[in-house]
Amino acid sequence: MAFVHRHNHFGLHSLSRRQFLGAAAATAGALATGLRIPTVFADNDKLATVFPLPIPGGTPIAFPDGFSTLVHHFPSTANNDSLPISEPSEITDFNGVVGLDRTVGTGVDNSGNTLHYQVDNGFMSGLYRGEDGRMHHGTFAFL
Amino acid sequence: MDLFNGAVGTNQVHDFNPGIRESGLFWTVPVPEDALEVNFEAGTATLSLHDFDTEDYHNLENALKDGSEDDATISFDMKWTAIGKPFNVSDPVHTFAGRFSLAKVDIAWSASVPRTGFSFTSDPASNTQKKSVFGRERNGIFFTED
Repeated sequence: MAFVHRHNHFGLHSLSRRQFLGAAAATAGALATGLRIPTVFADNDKLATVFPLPIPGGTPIAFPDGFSTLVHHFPSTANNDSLPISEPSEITDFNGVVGLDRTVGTGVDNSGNTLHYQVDNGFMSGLYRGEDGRMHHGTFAFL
Repeated sequence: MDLFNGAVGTNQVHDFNPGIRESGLFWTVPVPEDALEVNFEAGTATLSLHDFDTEDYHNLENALKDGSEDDATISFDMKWTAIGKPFNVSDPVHTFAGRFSLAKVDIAWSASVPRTGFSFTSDPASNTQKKSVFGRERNGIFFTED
């Protein structure tokens, strides 16, 4: 059966991390009392108020100055083992829809200089286990 | 979303991302649900954000070290369009499974850094897509092998 996850409009108000954290704190009481677990693809415009958890695996990155770290992300260009794709989700304990992209190109800055770009963006929307250990429904962008 | 004064990977001058959560959650932030539309029947997905607050960490290493940043905003419209038939993946090593489609992605984006007055607008005609995918996924506690 085809699944359609449709919303009616675009054009969004921005939300900074600071605003998100404030919203999360404001709703902590409500979450502590236990909200119903939403359906995986519930069609509502609510904003997730609890962060999800990262995938356990990822990509090690090292720099010439000796700094190295593991980022919990697999680029869309990477393949693990013989699979056609690497895991596209950034979040674990997740059941939903996901997308990931890498595109390169050029553009122009406000001084007229041509700059090259690389975009690694993606999305995840569905049911997830949050940092609080509870199940939530939310939509997230990987930017 | 990275900008380079030269070929990609050299002389990076801007790195727009929302930061890394203490848990390790990587450059992932909640967005309003109406930012996303997925239509498997049509084989498309769209993700759009306008004037979205983020940070400019200037380069990848500084970003991964959680170094100094400037407040920034980004706007973009992305559309995934499935190419080829969807396929199933089940990976017990990374505990994820799902049904995915490789996709063509159209993207137009812009960014600005108010403190410095910098702004950038991409040229969609210049896009070269490396690899894209979208579909359904379950992982972690939801993982079951197909």
